[in-house]
Amino acid sequence: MMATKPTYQELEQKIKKMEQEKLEYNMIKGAIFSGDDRPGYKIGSKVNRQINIAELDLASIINVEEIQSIMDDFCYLTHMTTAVLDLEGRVIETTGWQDICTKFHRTNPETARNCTESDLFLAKNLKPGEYVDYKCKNGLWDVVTPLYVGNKHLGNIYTGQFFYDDEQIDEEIFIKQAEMYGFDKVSYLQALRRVPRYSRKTVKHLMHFLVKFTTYVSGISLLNTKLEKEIQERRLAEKAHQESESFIKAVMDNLPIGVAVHSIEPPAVKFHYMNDNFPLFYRTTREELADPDAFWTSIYQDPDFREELRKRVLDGYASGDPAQLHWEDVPITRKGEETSFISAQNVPVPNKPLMISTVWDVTDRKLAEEALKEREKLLNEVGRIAKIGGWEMDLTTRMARWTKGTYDIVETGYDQPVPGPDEHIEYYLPQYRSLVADSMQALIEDDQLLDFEAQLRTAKGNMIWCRAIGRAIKKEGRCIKVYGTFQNITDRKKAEEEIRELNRDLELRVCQRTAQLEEANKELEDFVYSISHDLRAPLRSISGFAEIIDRRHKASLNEEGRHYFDNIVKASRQMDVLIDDLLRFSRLGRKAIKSENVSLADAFKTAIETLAEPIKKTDARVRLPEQMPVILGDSTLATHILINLLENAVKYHKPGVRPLIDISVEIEDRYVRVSIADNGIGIEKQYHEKIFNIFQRLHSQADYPGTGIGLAAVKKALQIMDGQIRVESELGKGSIFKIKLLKAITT
Amino acid sequence: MIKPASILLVEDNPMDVELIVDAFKEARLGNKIHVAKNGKEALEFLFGEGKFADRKLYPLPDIVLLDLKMPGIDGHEVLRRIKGAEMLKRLPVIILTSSRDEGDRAMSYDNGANSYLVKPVSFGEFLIVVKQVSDYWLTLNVEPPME
Repeated sequence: MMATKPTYQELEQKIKKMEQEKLEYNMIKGAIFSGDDRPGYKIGSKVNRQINIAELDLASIINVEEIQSIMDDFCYLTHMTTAVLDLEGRVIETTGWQDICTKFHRTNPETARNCTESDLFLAKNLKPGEYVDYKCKNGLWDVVTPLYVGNKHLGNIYTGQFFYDDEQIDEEIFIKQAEMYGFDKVSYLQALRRVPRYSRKTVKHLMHFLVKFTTYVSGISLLNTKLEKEIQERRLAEKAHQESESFIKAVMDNLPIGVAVHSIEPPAVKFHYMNDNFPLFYRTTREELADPDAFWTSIYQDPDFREELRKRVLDGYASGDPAQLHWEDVPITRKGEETSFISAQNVPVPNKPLMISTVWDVTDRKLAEEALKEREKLLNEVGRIAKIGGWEMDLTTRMARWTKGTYDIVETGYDQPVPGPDEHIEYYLPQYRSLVADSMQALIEDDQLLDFEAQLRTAKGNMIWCRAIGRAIKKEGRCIKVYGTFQNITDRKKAEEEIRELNRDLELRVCQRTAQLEEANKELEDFVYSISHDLRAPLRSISGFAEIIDRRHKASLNEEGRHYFDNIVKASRQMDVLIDDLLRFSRLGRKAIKSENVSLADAFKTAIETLAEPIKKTDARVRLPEQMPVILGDSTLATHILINLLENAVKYHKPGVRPLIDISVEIEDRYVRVSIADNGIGIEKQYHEKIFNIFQRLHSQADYPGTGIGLAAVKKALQIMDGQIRVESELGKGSIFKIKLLKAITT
Repeated sequence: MIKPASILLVEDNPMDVELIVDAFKEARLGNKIHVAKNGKEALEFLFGEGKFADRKLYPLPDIVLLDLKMPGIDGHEVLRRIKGAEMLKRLPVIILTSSRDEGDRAMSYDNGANSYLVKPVSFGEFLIVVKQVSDYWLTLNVEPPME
C-alpha cells in the first residue's frame, strides 16, 4: 500500500531542486529584463557559455548590406578595392574591383591561374594582426589580412589591384601580355592606366583601418547574435521549466499523501503550498484552509484533542528535534469518522519560518498490524496453553528461529541464541540423538514428515518429554528450510505411563476377577451337579416305590387314586429327564475338552443312530451332504451338539407332517458352517435369542416335552469349542440352525 | 445249583437299600444280602472288626455292591481299603452309584473296581440290573481263588 509513496528524502530533494531551478530562472530573468541590475553579465561569461562560436559563419554575424554600403563609401573616398571573404572563399563584400582584373586577368585561363596562385600564396602566409602583400604574376599587388572574431579566424579582408607609387610601371610588359593573351591592347592599357597607385604608408593605414573596422563591426554583430541566441534559449528554458513545473504539480497532486508548506509562527498555520491531497486528506478544501489557523478549527472538532495536537506540533517545532517532528501511527479523529491513524513528517525549511509537512493515512496498515498482533498474541497464548512452540531452521544460513512457546518449553530467555541445524541435537538426551538426527535427515533428504518424541534437559535442568513435528520447504528440488512445531508432552507421557500402570493393574484385577468368576462358576456347576445328583436319590425312591405300587398294589386303588398315582409316575419320569439334562449341562464345564480332528460325517452318523427311534417313529427324513469336512474340536461335544439339534428338528414337527431335515455345510478359511434346516413349526423372531437360555421353553410339556436345557447345552458346548450358533426361523415356516465350527488344520 | 452267593450292600440311603433288596426279592434271587449303612460299618464287616468279629456269624461276602457317595468314609475310600488289603484284594467290588461322573468312574476303576453300574431310576430297570449282576458276577463269573 505504501510502496507507491515517495520517501521523505526523495520528496525533500525534489523540492530543493525546484527551488534551485526557480532561483536560477529568476537570476536570468533579472539579468536580462530588469536593466538596472546586471550581475555577472559579460559576453563569454557564465550566462552565454552555451553559445558556440564555432557554429557561426561570418555572413550570419555581420549585416552584409550595411557593410557593402559602408565599403562603397570607403571605396569612393579612397578608390581602394576591398573584399571580405569567409573561410569558404565566399565573397561577403566587394567594391571597386579593377577592370584589368575582372575583365582581363580573371577571364583568361592562364592569367586567371596567376590570380589563383596569388590567392593561395596569401592564404598560406596569413598572420593575425598583420597583412601580407604579394605582387601577382600579372603584375599587380594583392594585400590580405585575416579577420578574427574573439580568437576565431572567420574570414579574410582583402585589397589589391594597385601599384605602389614608388615603382616604375613598364607598359611594354603589359603590351606583351596583351599580345600573349589576346587582350585588346587599347582597352587593356586604358584599364592599366586606371589602376590606382598608393604609397606603402597609405596601404599600411588602409589595411589597419580595415582590420580594426571589420573586427569592431564583427564584434558588435557577434554580441547581438549571442544575445539573440541567449534570449531564444532562455525562452526555451522557461517553457521547459513551465512544463517541468506542471509535471511536478501533477505528480504532487497525484501523490497518495498530503503535502503542504506552511508557516510555523504560532499560533496560526498559514499555508504557502498544498497539494490536492492535503485538503482531501483532512476532509476539507483549500478555501477552508485559507484563513490562518483554519487548519486547527476546521479539522479537529474536539477542542481538547485540537489543543493537545496543537501543543504537540508546536513543541515539536520548538524542539527542532527531527524525531519529535516525525509522527508515526498517531490516532486522529476526522469529521464524522472513526479513529484513523496517520503518519506525518515535518521538515523545517532552512533559514525560513516555513515547514514542509507530509501526511499519509496508515489506518489500513495499522489495523492490519493490530489484527496481526492480535493473532500473534492469540497464537502465543494458544501455544502457551498447549505448551506448543514453533521453530524454523534455514539450511542455507544455518540459522534458526523460535517462537516464544519454544523458548518457554526449553526454559531459556527470549534473548538467548537459538541453536541452528548444527547444534540443536545437543539439546536432547544422548539416547535420542540418533533418532533426532535420522528424522531430520529423512525430512531434508526424502521429504518425510518429521515427527518424533524425545527427552531433553531444559536450560533450568528439568527433564521433559517433547514432540517435534516438521515439514520442509523446497526450492528447485532442494530443501532450503525446515519448520514445524515443538510441544511439551511431559504431562501426556506421564498420563500414558499412569494409564499403562492402571492397565497393568486392571489386567491383574481382571485376571483375578476372572479366576474368581471361574471359581464361582465351577462351584456353581459343582453345586448344580451335586444338587442334581442328590435329587436323583429321592426321585429314584419315588419312582422305584411307585413302580412297586404299580406292579403289586394298583388294583387296590380306585380310579381317582390310579389317576393321581399315574401323575406321580409321569412327574417323576419328567424330573428324571430334567435331572439328566441338567447333569449333562453341568458336566460340559467339568469335562476335560479335547482338541482333535473330528469327522463331521462320523458325528452325524452317531447322532442319527442315537436318534434312530424318534426318527423311525416320526418317519423323519434326514438328508446329508455327500462330502463333509473334518472339524477341530471335541468329538463327544460335537456329537452332543448334533444330537440335540437333530432331536429338536425331529421333535418340533408340525402335527401330521413328516419331518424333513436338510443338512448343508460351507467351508471357509478357518471355519465350517453347518446348517440344519427343518420344515417344523418354526420360532417367532422374538425368541431367536431366548431359546439358547437355560430353562427357556416355548411349548407345554403336553405338546412338546422337554427341559429347556438342550439348546443352552448346545450353545455352551459350541462356546467351549470356539464355535457359534444362531437361528433363522419364522413361525410356521421351519427353522434353520446355523453353527460355526473350527475347521481342522490340514497338513 | 450251589448255594446262592452272599452280598455285602454298602448303601447309606435306606430307601435305596429297600429298593435293591426288594429287587433281589422280586427277581427271586435267594442271595443273602448284608447291608452296611456306611463306609465305616462296611470296613468293620469286611475286616471282621468290632461287632463283626465273629466270622461265622458274619462271613466274608462273595461280592460287594458299593455306593460311592456316603457320609464319612465314602465308597472310594472303602474300595481303596479293600483293594489295598491282601486278604480282600480279590473280592469283586461292583460300584453301584447314581453318579455318571467321569472322575468317579476313572477313580473307581483306577482303585480296582471290578464293575461300575449306574443306579437306574425306574424299578423295572433296577430289576434288570440286579438280574444281570446276579447272572454275570454270581453265576457266570469264575471267582479268583481265595487264599
